[in-house]
Amino acid sequence: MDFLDTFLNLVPMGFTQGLIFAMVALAVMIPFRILNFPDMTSEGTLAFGGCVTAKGLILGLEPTLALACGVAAGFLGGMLTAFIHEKIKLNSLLCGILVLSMLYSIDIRVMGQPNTALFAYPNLFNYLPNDTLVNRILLLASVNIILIGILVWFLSTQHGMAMRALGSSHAMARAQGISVKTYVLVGLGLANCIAGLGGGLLAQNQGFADVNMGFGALVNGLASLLLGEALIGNRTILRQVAAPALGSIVYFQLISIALAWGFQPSDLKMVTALFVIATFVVLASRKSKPGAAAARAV
Amino acid sequence: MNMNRIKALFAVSLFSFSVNALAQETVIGIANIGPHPALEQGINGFKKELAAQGYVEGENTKYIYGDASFTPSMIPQMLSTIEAAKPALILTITTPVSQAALSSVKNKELPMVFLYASQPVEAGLVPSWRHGSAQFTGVTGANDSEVTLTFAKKLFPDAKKFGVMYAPGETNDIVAIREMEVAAKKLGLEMMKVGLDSPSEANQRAQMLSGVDFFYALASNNIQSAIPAIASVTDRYKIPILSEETELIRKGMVAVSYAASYGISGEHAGTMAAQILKGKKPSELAPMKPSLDDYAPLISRKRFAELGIAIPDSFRDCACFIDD
Repeated sequence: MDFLDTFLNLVPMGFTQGLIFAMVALAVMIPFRILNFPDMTSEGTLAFGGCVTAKGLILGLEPTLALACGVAAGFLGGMLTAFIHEKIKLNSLLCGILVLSMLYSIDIRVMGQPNTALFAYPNLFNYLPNDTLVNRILLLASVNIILIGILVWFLSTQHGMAMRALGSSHAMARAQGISVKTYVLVGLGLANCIAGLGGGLLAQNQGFADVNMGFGALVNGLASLLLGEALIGNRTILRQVAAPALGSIVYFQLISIALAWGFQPSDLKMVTALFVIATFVVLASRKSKPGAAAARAV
Repeated sequence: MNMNRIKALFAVSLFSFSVNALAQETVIGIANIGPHPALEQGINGFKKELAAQGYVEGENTKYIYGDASFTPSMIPQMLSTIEAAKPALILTITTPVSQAALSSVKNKELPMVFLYASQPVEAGLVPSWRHGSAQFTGVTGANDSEVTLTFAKKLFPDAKKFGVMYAPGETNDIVAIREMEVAAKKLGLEMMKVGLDSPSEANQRAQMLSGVDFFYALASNNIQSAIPAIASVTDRYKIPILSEETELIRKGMVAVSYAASYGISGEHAGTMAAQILKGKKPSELAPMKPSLDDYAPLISRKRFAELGIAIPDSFRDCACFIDD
């Protein structure tokens, strides 16, 4: 009975984490799926957004305004990756890695130290009528739903269509007169401002920002994206955009299950990975078509 | 599963819970950042001291251990797992885990003791060094660099310049470096600091140490795991390593260690925990630093001989040689 008891206790915490890291998964989805530009910057912009938000709060900014600074920071981080790629034609993954390691130093410069406590400062959740875990989850869920709504809307506008054209083929898009340069620049900025938003919310939710807070976020994000696509596919824009968020929520609940089961902490990563694999196997066996969305590699 | 059966399951779980309460077993949570030998020494010290105070593991006390395998995103869920076991107290190890505990632990009455959070005031854990918060107090475990450098001057009387490596992304390292700079100036030593972002860069960065009289190894993870790589360079330059950690001296890499042992810091945390379990409030207990009595030197004669450095006569009667 311990399992059920512990699991029920863990569910809300898993939701909070899942909903926050859903934004990283979204930030991973845009370059990988929409822009066809594999990019790892989001691991850096998550922490960057968090650290800038923390600095903003310390300088006395309103929580929303501080969060907006974090979002802007993420946007700049993403643009920087695209800019380096464009200027020196470096492999996109390498550009992302370079930027994320640069951001590490910048984070420390921004905060003046590697870790900033925010317990004494107001945060976004103070605006809630009642600051409970459930209300926090509702707020974070609304943020996710609004984000998904905006993205779905944007991707069906002229500019969004152009961005999706990049996803099919950069050469083809160029032939259609689409400025690949501009759309990659803005697209990556957009993706990373979502990661920055996630970082800002993470810092406000946990009450501190730390330069290492992005560590492992990219792997979580990728796993969430693939898991979400395995669950609901990516055949429509709505499904493609909702998949990473859903995947992230499921991913963190899988961790909850593994934790509640009482596995050795050191085995947890192994167990979580096995759970993810098992989910894929189950989903793949239920689909008649071989090589469905689940099998689509990154 | 129908509704009745679910109700029955809940009843059973409630029942098993009340049985626990009847047995008067004290449950203590231990939340760690990840498995690490130095941190384990602290946990052992914590349990040892609590056992001495009447909380014996396996008899009347049960420990619920959790760690996050060094993954920040997993800390909140790990803490929830521990909280679900309804502990009477949680030991939180390192700064990020302690900070996350402040926001993630739902029961705001649950007392917590931190261990190895080097800057508890700046980290927002306690209001000041004079007393704890309503929920938190603990032991920093940070070494006092002035004490260590004073010792180093005794051991290396001719030393003018020493080298130190630190991880720019680790709060504990930054604090240590900042304090050490002040102490070095006071003692008339020149300090050369070298940043190290990951242990894989150690070999290259250590080349910059040529010309220093000794190398000061901080106790932090990043530095300690890089010592084998650093030692391969410092050996060539005949530079002795003074470590804040006792682990590597026995493996023959470090010439001398001078540290408040992790075990002793853990014991201090255990003393605090016992006081809280017996009714004191965390706010009544001031956060602690290791005291002078907690430091103990260990010296390797073999390493000094290999590096061609003489041990001063004042250390002749020291009971600190590991190879005697």
